[in-house]
Amino acid sequence: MRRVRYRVALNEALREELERDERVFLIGEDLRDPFGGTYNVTQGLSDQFGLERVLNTPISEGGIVGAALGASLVGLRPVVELMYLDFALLASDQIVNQVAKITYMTGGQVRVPLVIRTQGGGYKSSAAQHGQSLEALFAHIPGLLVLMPATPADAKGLLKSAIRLDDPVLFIEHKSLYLEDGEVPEGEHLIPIGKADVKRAGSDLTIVTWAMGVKLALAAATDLAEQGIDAEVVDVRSLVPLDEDTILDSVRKTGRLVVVHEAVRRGGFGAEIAATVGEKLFHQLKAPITRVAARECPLPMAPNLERVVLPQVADVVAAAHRVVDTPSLV
Amino acid sequence: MRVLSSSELERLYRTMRLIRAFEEKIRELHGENRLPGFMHVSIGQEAVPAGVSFHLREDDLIATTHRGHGDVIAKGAQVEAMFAELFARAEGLCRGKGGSMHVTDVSRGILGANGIVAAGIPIAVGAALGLKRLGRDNLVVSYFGDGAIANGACHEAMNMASLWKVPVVFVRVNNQYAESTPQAHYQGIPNVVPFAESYGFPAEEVDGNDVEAVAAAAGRAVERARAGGGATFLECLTYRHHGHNIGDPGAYRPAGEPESWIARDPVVALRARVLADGALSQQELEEIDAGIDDRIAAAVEWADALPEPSPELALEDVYSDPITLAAFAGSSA
Repeated sequence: MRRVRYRVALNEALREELERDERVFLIGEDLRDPFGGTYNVTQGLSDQFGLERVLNTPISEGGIVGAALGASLVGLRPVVELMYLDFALLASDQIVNQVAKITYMTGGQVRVPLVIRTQGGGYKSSAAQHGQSLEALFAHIPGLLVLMPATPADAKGLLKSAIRLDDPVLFIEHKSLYLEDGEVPEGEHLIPIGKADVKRAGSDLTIVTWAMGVKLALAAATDLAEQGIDAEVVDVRSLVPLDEDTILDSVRKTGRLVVVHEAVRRGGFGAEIAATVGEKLFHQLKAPITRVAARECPLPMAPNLERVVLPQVADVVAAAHRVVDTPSLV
Repeated sequence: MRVLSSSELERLYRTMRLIRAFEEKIRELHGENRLPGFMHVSIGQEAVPAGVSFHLREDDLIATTHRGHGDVIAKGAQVEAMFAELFARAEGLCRGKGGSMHVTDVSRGILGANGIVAAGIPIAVGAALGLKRLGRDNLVVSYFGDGAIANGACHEAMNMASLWKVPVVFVRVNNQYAESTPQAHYQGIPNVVPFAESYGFPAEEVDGNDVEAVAAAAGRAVERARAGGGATFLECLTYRHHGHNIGDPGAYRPAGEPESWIARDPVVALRARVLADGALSQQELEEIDAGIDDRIAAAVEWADALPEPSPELALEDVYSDPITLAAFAGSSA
């Protein structure tokens, strides 16, 4: 199969959906060519589709999301780009109080076919305001979907599915994955919303993760395999809705769970997954559930300090050993 | 000189009188603890929505505020379904889930009231952008209170409206108080018309208690928007006779100020005007009033007698796409 970069896969998804549906349009800062988006995801699209369908905006995050919501209410299907997830906080009223709630507040009078693409995460010395992993904030809000692709194929397939959905989606890409390449099928490629993906099958423990965590977990699983430990890696892909069945099936099989995420541990979405598994599979767990996550501090710029704060492959390996080495509880 | 015909004046009077009766009834019901939820009435401000809506078509859109009863009634929302909403019934416009601050009727072009000051302004601009993209000739009215001018969302939206030349009419309903804070305490300049003009579109100051003046200014703004001329800003000076919300006595207002504005009550003024120039007779006015009061009474009786919404309604309408609903159904055991 052909190999495509994550960034290019996203670009293909946007191009195909712009071609497929006249109602789809892109709106955000610095999207137009020749710049083509801060991470080049919209490269070539304004040249192909024109400046009305690839609408460059002022630096007005709240205004952008509000305007996109308004456009969706009259029948368009906007795809917003917010340059950084950190900047989504500037639009948090529109995202949390308006976009997420208008269907409910109006008793179902309106549908909101709106995708908000943004990117988060670190490992790039982007420091405290350009590298946060804020997914838990938004996963907490009923009315939104939160998708976080880890591979080029998932990025393309999930984005296309999101654009076709009539509910609002926060679509969080990862800045350190844009140049990763991976297999992406030719032609139409859609990924179902709300389905986790077992990225590596294994029998000794389950690692549940998403976004950059998938890369860490797969690298850790390779190391663990050399040490005789067979890890299963479950990429949730969608935090909301969360595919509990796939997670629970895996933990039923292995009896051990490590949750890995790049966001800080306190209040992170890993706690939600740990609690869910604890509630539903308590008696089948062979070891306490363990989390691998960022330390409780803002992101430092210094590369060596960032490595201290953000989870590393070795942290995942160590966590796996802890749960596997625990004398079985059952 | 009279610009409007007798039947046009009657239409304006009916709208304003209906809004007034609706909100007076809300105050009464709220005082009797019969309505749940937060209520902000616009008594004293009725000339603004009546005058603005005078030029709107059914397919034109509005987005308004927490003090939006008058705006949505003037746009055609039915008081029966509104009372059902305020009584928290499933037959309400928003199935009882939105209430006064979120009253919405998309079928009549009402994109919604809004509980967040200034948040509706970018939504209105985006809707106008969408209409322009779709090649339609309808437009969007964005109502907001005077306090919204101090919020970034307002300025982001006005800049975008200017940039994209979208069919929108900004209506600042200046009742002179941002909740309890008078303009001089939240605004660096006494008059905000230059704010709007600085974005490059026309702005007009209007006596917001004179419905004919509002209608005339709104007519120019609507015509400009429909012809592709972009946005207009209307600064409508008016006054709310009561406090910010039902329960606020408005003690922050100087002695005599409410009385001086109540003496300029726009409903009373229009009534006197149509009587004086013979557009409507005393008897005709009394019949109109009685008809409206009967309609309100019947609406209240009907809405009050409806059953409470069934509990399963609470979890409906969070998402709408069947794909999303199926994904949730499959994921939470």
